[in-house]
Amino acid sequence: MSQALLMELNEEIRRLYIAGSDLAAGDYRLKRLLPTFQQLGERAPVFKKLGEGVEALIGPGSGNGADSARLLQDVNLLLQSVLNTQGKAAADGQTAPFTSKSVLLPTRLSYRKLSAVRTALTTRGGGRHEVILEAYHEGVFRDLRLLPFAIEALNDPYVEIAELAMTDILPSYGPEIVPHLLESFDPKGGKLESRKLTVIARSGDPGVFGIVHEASVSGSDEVRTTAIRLLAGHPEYEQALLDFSRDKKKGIREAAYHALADTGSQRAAERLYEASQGKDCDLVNPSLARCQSERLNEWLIRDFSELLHSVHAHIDEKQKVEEIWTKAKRYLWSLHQKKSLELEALYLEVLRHYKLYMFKLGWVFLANEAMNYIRNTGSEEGLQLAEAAIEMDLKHYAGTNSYAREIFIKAQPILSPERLYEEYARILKDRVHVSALSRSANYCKQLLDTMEDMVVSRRYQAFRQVWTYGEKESYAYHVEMLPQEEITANWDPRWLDHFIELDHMALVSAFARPGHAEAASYLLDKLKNSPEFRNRFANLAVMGLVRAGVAGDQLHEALVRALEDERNTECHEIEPFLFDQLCRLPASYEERIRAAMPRFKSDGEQQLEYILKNMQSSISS
Amino acid sequence: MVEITETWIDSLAPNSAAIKNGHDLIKKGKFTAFHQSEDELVLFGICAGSGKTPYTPSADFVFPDKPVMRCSCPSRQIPCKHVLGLLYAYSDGKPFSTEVVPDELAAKREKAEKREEKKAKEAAEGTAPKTKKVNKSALKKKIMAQLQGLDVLEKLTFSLIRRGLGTLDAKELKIIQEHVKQMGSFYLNGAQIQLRKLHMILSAGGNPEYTYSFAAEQFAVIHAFIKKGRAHLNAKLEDPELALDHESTIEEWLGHAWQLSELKEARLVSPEAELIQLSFLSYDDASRLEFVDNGYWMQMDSGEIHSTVQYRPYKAAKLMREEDSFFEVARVPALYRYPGDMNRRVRYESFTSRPLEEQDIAQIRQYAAGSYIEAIKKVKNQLKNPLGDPNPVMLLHVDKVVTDEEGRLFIADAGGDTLGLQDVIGDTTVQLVKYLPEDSLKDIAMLVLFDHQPQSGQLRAQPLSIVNKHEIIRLLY
Repeated sequence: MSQALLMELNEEIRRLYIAGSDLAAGDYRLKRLLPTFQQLGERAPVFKKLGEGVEALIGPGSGNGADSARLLQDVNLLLQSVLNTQGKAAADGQTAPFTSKSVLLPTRLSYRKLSAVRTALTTRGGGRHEVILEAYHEGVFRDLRLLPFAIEALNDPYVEIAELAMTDILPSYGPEIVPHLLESFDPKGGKLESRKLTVIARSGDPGVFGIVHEASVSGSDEVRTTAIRLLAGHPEYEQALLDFSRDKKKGIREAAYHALADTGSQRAAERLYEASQGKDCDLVNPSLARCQSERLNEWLIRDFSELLHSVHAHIDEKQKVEEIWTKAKRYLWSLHQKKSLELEALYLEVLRHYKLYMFKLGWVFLANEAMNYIRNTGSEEGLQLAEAAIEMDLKHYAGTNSYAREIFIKAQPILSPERLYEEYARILKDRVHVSALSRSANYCKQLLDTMEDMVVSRRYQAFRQVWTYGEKESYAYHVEMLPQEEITANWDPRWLDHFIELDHMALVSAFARPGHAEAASYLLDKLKNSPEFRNRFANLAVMGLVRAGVAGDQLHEALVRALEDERNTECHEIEPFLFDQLCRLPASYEERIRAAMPRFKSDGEQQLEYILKNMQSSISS
Repeated sequence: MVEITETWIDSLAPNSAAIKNGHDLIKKGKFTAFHQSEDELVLFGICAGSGKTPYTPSADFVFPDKPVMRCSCPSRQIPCKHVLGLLYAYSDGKPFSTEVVPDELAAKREKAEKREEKKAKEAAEGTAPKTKKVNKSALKKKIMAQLQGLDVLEKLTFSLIRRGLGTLDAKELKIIQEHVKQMGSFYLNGAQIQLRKLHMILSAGGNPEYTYSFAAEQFAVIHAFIKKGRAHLNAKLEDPELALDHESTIEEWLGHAWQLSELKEARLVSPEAELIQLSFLSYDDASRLEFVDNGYWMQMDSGEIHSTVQYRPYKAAKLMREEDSFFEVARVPALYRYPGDMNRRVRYESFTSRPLEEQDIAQIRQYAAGSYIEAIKKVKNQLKNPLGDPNPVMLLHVDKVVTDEEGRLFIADAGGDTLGLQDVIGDTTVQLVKYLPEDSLKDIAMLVLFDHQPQSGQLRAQPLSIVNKHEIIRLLY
């Protein structure tokens, strides 16, 4: 009772703070409260004091000057002190013993260890994923205090963090986590809930699939599709999946097909096949591709084969042929990357009628798929058919733009190295005698580009900077070439001379081989003329020199000469292959490297420093 | 020599980045030499830096409870990453060769030793280090200025209250901010903080109902501060010695930073205390413009819960050691207590540590308050003082954890009295209780932080740590 009164007074006092204390004089609402305070004041001195304060505040004296403010402050101060002692601590109604669902985790990490991860999990902005991932690998998440944040992370707007929590962090807590996820699981929710469900299903507790099934029936669309996919492979829910595959909603059917494909049982295969014949043929196709059921594949190949056969009868009906091709593409997709004897027979048949499919009908996809499939099986008959097909291609496409591109790429693995050389080398031979603007010069360029793409790959890839002693990972520009044995085995040796003649350094480097003195001296010259490590040429030339068998003193001397060259400045980072070769220099070059070091910068300088340090330790040991 | 463990080194480091950098120096092979003196009391090494001359970090253990870290690098962090690297190398078992201590370092050591000897001599002779003579006329001037500042502050609050908060505009907020600055020149740091807090409340936006309630509470605090401060300062002027008040917290409110010698003089120091940290938190106090590292410790011979407070002003935060959780028992030769009520602030100059043992846990549990009625009485007694800490911390015995119909959690004492649990500070801990095993929920000691919530009229407690029969479970840090 008295607390309610105090709260009421507090309310009125606050009103005066808002309105201004100058309005306190004669305030009728406070006046109304006053008698109760005076009455209670007879028993409790605090109420008496409060009553006196209120009386002064609303009295006539309070209207002038700063007094009203002082009086209001006085009452307020007393009131706040009293209110602070009025807090109720105990429970209102009945209480019952609390039973926890324990997850046994220690709490031994210190503030400094935890707070960085906590901040990453509770704030927004860049750089968080790295912190969280590192913490996960260091086992920091094996601390009870991060568990709620790990659950919360499922809802992180940065998808990679949410996925990490779903696929790695939360499952690492084991099945004990399930009750706590279920506690807040709302099947009507969105992405967050479907992530929770995924963790629940993958927790390794077989008892949870009842919940998953329920969610698949009554959840929101988002949750349902996730739940349905999670039911894959559980025989007891196969019927449910079959039912879902006839649902009115497209998304549900799609999820059901997906799950049936993963299940791969007889009934699943039958249902998928059935769907592929109906209006869902496009929707089900990714699931057909996914499904590894042999029975299903047999059916698909049988139908595909019949379909291709039927084209002979309708060869002149344009529309019909179009229809058949649309269907055929579906089959191609659903059978892609699958293997069986029937499929081999089918593709052999395609190669037998290569002219029809490739040139007359223009079904390039089909022809190429057949070619790739047969090439990988390696059967004698198949290879002969493939070779014959390539010969047809070469004739058909001669003089077109794809001749030096797609057709070359297609022909290279099938034709013998000599045959390929004889077919194409004349393009390079012609080039020498014609002007740079001519059509054959253009042709030659196309061919060289195609070959370079096939043997030299260049990309940025993750790279451990050893010179920082394993600390830093960064991206570096990597040049890689086909292994030398592969080039020796699959390419004609005569190419190399043409490359030198045409001054194509990348290909010379890739094709260089021991005993080819011309290539070695060509590359040595190249390194001498463009020794700058900041340019890509130096690295390429050195790769070629190693392939050419230039080694020992000759290689070392060439490397150090390039390093010492006064043009070799402004290099911020030495490319990986070149760096590796520099690391192999004998310690006797130490002084010369040290002398060249001032011309290098940042990482480049550190790399040289690393090399020098290794030299010193090899001397001392 | 003290035992050098990795955790001990971690605890020396100013922040986690320094720990990482120290390790990195070893990994990168920046150290070219590790040495120790013949008596094994000094570790020193040579570490390459970015310049030509390498740095010479060293760690001197002549006084085991006060090791001295030195380095020739220009870093203002002490110990710097070079010293940390040196220590990590030692704890990793890297070979340290015995060498003669370099002259430069030896000279520094000699000086330090002489200083220490002199101190010891003075202590032996009983001549305590001379307390600084207080310049009384200057102090008087300062008190007068403070009184004047309180008048200015009062004038401002009264004018705000007379006009009413309902019509407050940007101009008035600016006036408050100007007054924040002015308070500094009146030597009233405490007033600065409270006024800045008022400014933050009024300019925060959000639900105006809450804004006005918080503002009314804050006005009460400021009013109490003015009244108490004025009375205290006037009384001080009367006193011919102008002595400090070592009973209440008013000196701190007025901006006084206690010196250890002053605490000693006021007999607020106890010898040979053992402290165990029960909880730790660190937060950003925007009204102080400082980060605050806050530890709650139990003094093992009395069972009192003390707090350690380190303020790291924003401007200097980078250079100061960020405190951390401490898991061992700290043995303090002299424990200085600040004036105050519950959870007095404590400080110490040096400490050694020993591992926490099972009997320590048993002893902590014994100190837990058994009756919630008694405990709450004590808490409320403090809460009614507007200048007291509004969030006292206590160790309570918990017979069991119970829940009401709405699923809220309560702790219950042996007599069946209950106390509601609720998160008070930004970091949530209540929900962690749901994950704890049975033996951490029955017959335990719980460290809780109290808070009175005027809106709902409830007194709530946030669990910070739980002490079961075997260990301290830290729900916070």
